[in-house]
Amino acid sequence: MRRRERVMKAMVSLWTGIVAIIWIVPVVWAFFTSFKTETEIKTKGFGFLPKEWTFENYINILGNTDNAPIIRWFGNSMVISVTVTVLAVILVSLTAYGYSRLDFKYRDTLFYMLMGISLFPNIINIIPLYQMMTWLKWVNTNMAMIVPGLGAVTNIFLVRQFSLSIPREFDEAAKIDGAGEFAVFFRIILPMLKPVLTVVALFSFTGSWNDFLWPTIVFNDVEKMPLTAGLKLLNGAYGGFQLGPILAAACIAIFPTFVLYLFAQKYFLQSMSLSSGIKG
Amino acid sequence: MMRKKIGKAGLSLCMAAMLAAGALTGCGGSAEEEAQTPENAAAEDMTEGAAEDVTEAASGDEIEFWNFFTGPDGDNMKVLVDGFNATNPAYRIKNVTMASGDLYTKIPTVVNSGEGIPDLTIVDVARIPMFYEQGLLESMASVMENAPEVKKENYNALVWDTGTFDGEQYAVPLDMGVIGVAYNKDLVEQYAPGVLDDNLITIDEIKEIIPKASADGIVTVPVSFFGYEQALALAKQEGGDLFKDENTPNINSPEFTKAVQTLKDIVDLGGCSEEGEENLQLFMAGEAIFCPDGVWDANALNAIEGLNWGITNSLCYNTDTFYNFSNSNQFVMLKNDKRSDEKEKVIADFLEYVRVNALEWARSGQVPASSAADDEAEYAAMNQHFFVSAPEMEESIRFNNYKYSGYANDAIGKVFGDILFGHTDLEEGLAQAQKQAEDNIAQNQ
Amino acid sequence: MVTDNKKSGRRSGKARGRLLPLVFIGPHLILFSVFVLFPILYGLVISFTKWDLIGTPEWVGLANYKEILFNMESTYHKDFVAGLKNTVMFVALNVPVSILVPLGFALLLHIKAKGSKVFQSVYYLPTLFSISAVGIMWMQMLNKRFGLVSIFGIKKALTITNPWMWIMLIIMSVWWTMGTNMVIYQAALGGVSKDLYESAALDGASGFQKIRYIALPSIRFQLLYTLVITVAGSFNVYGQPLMLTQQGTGGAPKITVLIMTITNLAFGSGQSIAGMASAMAVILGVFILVVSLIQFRLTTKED
Repeated sequence: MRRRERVMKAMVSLWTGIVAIIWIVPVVWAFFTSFKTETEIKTKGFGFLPKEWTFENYINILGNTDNAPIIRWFGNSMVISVTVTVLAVILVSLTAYGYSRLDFKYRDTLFYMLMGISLFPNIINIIPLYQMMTWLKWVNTNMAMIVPGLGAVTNIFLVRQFSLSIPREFDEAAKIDGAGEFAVFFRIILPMLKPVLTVVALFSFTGSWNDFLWPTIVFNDVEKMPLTAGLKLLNGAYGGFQLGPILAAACIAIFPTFVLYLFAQKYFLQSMSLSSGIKG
Repeated sequence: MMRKKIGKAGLSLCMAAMLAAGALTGCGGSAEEEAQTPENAAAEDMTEGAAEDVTEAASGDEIEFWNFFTGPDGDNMKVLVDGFNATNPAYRIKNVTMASGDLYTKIPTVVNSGEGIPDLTIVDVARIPMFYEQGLLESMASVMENAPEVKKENYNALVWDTGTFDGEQYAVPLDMGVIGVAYNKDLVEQYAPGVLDDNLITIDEIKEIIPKASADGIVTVPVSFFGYEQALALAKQEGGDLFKDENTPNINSPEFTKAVQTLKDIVDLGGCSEEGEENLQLFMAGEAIFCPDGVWDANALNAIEGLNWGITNSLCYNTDTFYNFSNSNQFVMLKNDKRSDEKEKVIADFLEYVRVNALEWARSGQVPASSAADDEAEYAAMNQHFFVSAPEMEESIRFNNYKYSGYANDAIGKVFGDILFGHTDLEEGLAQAQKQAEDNIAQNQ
Repeated sequence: MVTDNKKSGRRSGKARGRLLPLVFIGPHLILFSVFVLFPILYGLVISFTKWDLIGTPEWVGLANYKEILFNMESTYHKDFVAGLKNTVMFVALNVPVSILVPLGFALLLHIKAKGSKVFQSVYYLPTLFSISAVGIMWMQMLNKRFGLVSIFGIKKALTITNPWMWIMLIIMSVWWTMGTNMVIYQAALGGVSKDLYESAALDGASGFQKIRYIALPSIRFQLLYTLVITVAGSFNVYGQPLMLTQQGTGGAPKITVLIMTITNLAFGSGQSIAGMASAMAVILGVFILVVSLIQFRLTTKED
């Protein structure tokens, strides 16, 4: 039995490892290519390692502090994404609790409606949304980046589904002991939702970090833009055929979100092993 | 069963409507309660901070200038803006750069809300007649009063006229993004010696080159890249225009049909790259003799070491007539009550500054609309100088600037590749594009 | 929130019970109404008009809908049908793959074999790139002259010929988006009681049986979530076919989906046809809504 398990684990390692190697090929290519000269990319055919390493693409992007204040963008993105993440986690856990563990009339119908409506394609939306931003005087401010997204439903749906899979007995037992709704929320349910709330935090952060249509609409001020919107400026309409700088920009842009993912992964693997044994 | 499902969907829709009504009437009251939750308290603090930012930005001591020079050309525009700001104007120019798609998306959003309308904007010539008809454009009369040298005589006459409506000027051109045919000098020598002696590549010459080149696996001319502009140029040689009049597209005209057929012949003979190839990359890699392209790609092409290239006129049937279609970036002022006369004065000074310093803009690869730099040695050494090197080149430049050009371009773009590579019948495809342009125009009548 | 609690304490228990849910769902409901519902209703109103986003909208009633749905000769009808066909095709191909592949990986990673931590970050990594970067990477991988496939002697234009373009589109989509669903399944599987597996192992259950009878039923709520979101997301597909199936730089994409048609109408290079675009968006939205409700109905009935 043990031996069989060991063999099986080795096979899984091998298989997941092979797939991982295939999986990362485009990323590895992009990473190495960001260190190639434009001449090499365009004329030397396909290859991974640069024949001649150059940091020119990175220097061009990071050094162009007048046209592209990248450090500034980085800071702006941080402020926006961290705020969005904190607010989203609070709002989402509260709301998801309401839609999963409280009983009120038309609860599910109301929720499905919100969900369904929020799935409508939102192409025309930028016209009224921008209008509202001017009414609220939020144009060119971080508020425009932070608040509208909090109306989204998908993360609430996600947490709601996790919350639904926690047996009712937990709250009922606590309520018999005299705990109020908030006590149940904070002391019983919230701790059990930690793993999925980590996921929500990850999604909120990367979602906000990678958003790029809306920020270019609400920001006119290059100084106030978040990173992805700023980097988009570098993929110019006319100069857009230069691959090196674009790939360098992409590598810079994913760096913080990837670090965050590694932290989130560590944290959620930990909190999962703590919370396992809930569902039955 | 079926009825039940519909019932539930119906109920849902009713709920949505109720929700909507609630949202519209009940917003103000509940917002106050909201402030008690921690997240809203935090949000409120941020609003205050943000409000300060707004007043700072809106103090109005700057001229907000929108453009889409996001590539290397952005550096050249920045030199111009910084240079102008260094002359201590009453208002500084604030250079706001964004992707062109975003700029055109932002225009209706700001115009609708009346807030955040820029003082000065770059738009492409193809949009100008439409913007004029929509009443978006301010007359440039006051600017020209303040800057008397900003006048037709100092610009290429053809590009200047694209901003004239009923005798009044609504746009001042910055440049011409001429689309010609780039050529690889080494490959021309090898496969097409002498073809460029008259600066014209005829279709017959192309057809002669194809067998020689394709025997070596070399592409003669990838007409799927900027082939549309080649087709426009060919049709124009036979007297065919894209529109019969302002409201009537002429896409399936005999002239345009013949032009596309001509390009398709080149494809069928094996002179074009295969479908879906990266044509400019092909040209950069030295695997194509010619490549239709815009002058603005100069810096990208110069970045390739060992690529020995030049640019010449678009393809032609014979050497009697030839045309080159062109984009053009133009300065316009979107209508805005808040733009003061003092600001318009500074805008005039800036346009004059740009006109005089045309050489800086030539460095971006474009052909400056102003003729101020035409005789400078540095400019003369640039490839795109070809298009101002002789009167017949300057007079060959045409613009696709009908009121509904955008519709025609989109409609043709949809079928163009499929026609060239034989997935769609030529006549059917052009008829479909014609119908689409007609339908779109009908939506605006 | 504490003051809220006290205030409602003075009211009768019944009123408190009725107001309590509002404390939880109220804040979001307001944000939703203002920033999601209002713009959609605005779009709905626009769909009954002719409007170029600049002038004054002209009320045309149901004319846009009639044109799109019933005027067989109209460009808008043809474009709508063509776009819808490709969109539905994408949904049909992408949804099963985008559910099953990440589920399979989550199950394999759940075994916690050697290297799983590194591998899972590798699987997640592509999700972090923007679609334009992803498009560039894959165009370069699949370019028959300059790309990775050229090394293997592939001479087909994989991104523009059938059926390869569809296969590549789905592979690229899964590569790009898999991380999201995988993380959700991982979090869900992490919550399944170890006792259950152990008692099943004592009963002699095979690995497959453990998955079928323990793991999957335990994460059914999360499966429903990924299903609904993946279906809706696939209906809204835009970036992947736009980036991958272009016929060379700047060419029209080979696979046109509905969102492209709508975007081109509203923000194309000609005067905006926003009313028609809105009407198409509303029809697509209703489509998604109905499909989602059916999914909710079918999956919640079992409970």
